Amino acid sequence: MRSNISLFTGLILIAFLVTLAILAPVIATHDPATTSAEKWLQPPSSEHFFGTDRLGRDIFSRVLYGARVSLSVGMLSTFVSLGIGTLLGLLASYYGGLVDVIIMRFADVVLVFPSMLLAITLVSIFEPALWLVILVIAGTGWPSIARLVRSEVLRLRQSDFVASARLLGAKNRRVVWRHLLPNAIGPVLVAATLCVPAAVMTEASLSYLGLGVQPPTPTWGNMLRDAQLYLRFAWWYAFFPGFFVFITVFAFHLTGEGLRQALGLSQTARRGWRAGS
Amino acid sequence: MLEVKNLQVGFEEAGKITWAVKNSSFSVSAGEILGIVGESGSGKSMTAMAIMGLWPADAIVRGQLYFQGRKIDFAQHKAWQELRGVMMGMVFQDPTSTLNPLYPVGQTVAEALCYHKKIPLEEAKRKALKLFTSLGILPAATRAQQYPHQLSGGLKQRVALAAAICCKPSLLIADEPTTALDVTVQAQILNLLTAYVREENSALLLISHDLGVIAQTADRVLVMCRGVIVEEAPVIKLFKHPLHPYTQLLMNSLPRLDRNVLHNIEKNGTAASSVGCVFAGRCQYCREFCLLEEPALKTITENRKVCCHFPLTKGRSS
Amino acid sequence: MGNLLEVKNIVYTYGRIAAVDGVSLALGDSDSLGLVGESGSGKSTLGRCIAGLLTPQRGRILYQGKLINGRLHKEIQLVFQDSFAALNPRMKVEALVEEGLIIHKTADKEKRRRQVREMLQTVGVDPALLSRFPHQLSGGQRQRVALARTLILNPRLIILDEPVSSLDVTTGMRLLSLLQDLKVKHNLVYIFISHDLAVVRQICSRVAVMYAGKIVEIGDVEAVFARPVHFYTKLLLDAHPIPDPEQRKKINIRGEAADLLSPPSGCRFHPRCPAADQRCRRIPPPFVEVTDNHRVACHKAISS
Repeated sequence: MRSNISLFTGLILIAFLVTLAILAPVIATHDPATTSAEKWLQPPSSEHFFGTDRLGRDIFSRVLYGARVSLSVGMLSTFVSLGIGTLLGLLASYYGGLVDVIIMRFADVVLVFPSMLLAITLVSIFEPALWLVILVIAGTGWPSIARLVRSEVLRLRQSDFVASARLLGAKNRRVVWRHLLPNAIGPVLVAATLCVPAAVMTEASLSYLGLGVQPPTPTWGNMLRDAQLYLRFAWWYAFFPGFFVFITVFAFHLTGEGLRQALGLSQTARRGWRAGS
Repeated sequence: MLEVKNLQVGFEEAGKITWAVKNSSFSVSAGEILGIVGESGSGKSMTAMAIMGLWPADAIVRGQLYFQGRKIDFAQHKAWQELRGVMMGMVFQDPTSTLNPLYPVGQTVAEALCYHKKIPLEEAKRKALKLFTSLGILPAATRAQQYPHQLSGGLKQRVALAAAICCKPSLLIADEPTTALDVTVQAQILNLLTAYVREENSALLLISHDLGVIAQTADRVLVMCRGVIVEEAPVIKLFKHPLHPYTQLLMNSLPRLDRNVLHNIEKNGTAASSVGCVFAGRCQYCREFCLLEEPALKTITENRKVCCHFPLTKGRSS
Repeated sequence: MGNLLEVKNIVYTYGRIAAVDGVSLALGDSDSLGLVGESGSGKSTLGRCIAGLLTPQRGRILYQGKLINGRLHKEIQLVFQDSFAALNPRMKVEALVEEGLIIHKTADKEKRRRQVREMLQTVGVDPALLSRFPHQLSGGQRQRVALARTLILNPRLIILDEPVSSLDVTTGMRLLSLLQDLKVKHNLVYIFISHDLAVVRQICSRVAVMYAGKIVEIGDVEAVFARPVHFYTKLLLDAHPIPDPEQRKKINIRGEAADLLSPPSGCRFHPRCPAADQRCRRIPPPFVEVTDNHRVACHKAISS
């Protein structure tokens, strides 16, 4: 019951955030880039719900447009690392031997490489841009997925139902697609759900450092960076972008946790003995 | 020794309570081996769990429990903590769950002794070794140094038994103690259990799905079916002349070494009904009345109770 | 007599442990062989070798005269002990039973559906359960679905690995009864692996007793049960709890099952055997015929 509540709440929150991001041009009360010399650093009011920033831009509108960047970075990078991770994990576990060693050692190297340093290096080579941020996050995020897929597949490969399918004459392709993947995907999805908030955080950190998406495109990260000088006398400046980062991370964690419990429950018939004979 | 009155164990789901054990009353006396037999879902394990105070957190437990004349309150877990280990010993199907994998098995038993009997550790260790020897965990000194994963299933169960009886409890509860073991090991463990009961004049509650084990070990038997005690009888009388159709079914379905019994197996079991007798749906003698009214456990002769509107007569059971 | 299956001196080792250590047996066209022994005797490993799931390191397995070592064969199927583990939890009953037909492309969709329904009827599963997942079935129903899954390919030889040991007695016996009917109807040959002698007694015509990776006694069920020759067979029969409180047995059982890492010299059962002598300790006993079709690996069987 509890798991359903967290899954439900998480999904509602995510849906809400995604709607805000998609409908940003409709909901936004101001143009996020329009500056105003008179109205800088104004506290929240009926005209500016979340106040204005140091250039007099409407924070409410900027937060909405920022959601577009944050959520797309979070989801796209997770999607990419899910794809790479699942593919490499499957290859490693299924072929084993040298293929396994090469893929998994490579994954280990990537895993120990600090993503922040990699990002800084890459950004200094290329121009900072949205696609680069996504690439960096996905490029450092896939090893954990690959490891999970690999261990799941290795475990499942030993299972009786795979042996049973082979006895019926099933070939590799069928075993992988019909038997291994559907059973491995549960824990992987949970892990992926938890990747999204991590990606949102990384994007925010990169933008905060000035290495992410560049102004004037608003992101929660670069808004926070702008706000840091005004923390003491303009609380709203940092509070609202920060709050949305928090809500996003929270929503995905709830969903992941709910998903984990829901999947766990459906698989092991808890209290099976009560069912009777 | 132990008296259980109107025991009920249930689980609430979506506002509806399903009872795993329905209104069970029975008693065990000193020096007696009481067997509880039934299939999965019969409530036999739940009964044991309730007596030991080890029911799942979401269970609802009602009824009265008297241990050596003392009433035990189901709401007070502390009362059990004092009883468990000292007055009540437990052996489960899976010994690995009771043995700490991080400690040598000798230490596990010695510490239990030390804790419950308040004796110095050195003395407890000596006693544990003596106990190991008497239970055939040989060579005791070497075995005591080993960890659970280094022992075979049979030895682990012996150690679990040592831990259960080290404080000489007056009530021993064994829940399917030999189900996971091979027949030769099973025979050894059952011998040890019986020997303990006879020597210490303690009581044993032996829960098993195997009528063979019950026949070889128990003095008196409770037959449970879907949470209800359907028959209670001394072991010889029960096997000679079962009164409840369910007991008869269990006996007839038991595979035997000396003959093929497949021909008298009913081919299809029917669904159970929610009112009336719990066995009505599967009973070959079921009448309309059985589907309407729930029978009560009534005394037939001395020591014999049956929960059936139309108990079997001698002619029908043979 | 033509043998359907011949196993010749096969050895299967897990690392340093020889789980099956030189086993030979032959199976006729209408036999049902019970393979009994305690845990670690190698009976399941032997079953998996015959099914082709494991490749023995030495020896030969012949099916209808053809060598099939380590190869899967459509006509040889295996039913696992744990039906829960043997059925993909993400597939519904219909997909599970249908799988063999899809793999072998034997029929179109409509025909497959009909066949699945018929097969479920045959094994006594209500077709209403077609869209259930394995965890929504009872243990008995699951084992029947697992059986339907293998039967749909019309196998000849089915290896049943403890198919009833996790079921309640009444459910298990109903399944045995079904197995017996199916054997006649579909002309099946069974290898029935079990630790329970009484279960083997119900359904098998022949029985092989395994101890520590070797077959110690093989013969017709009635003969072996009535006049066991090997002391281990006698011990197993003695230890079996008889469901009659008036026949209580006080048996003395010595020792523990043999350690496969360093198996005893000579006859592997000698440390636990009441009749063991010098010869038993040194020389492995040969497999000799005591009467027709009844063979035993015991020195004492020859001398007496």
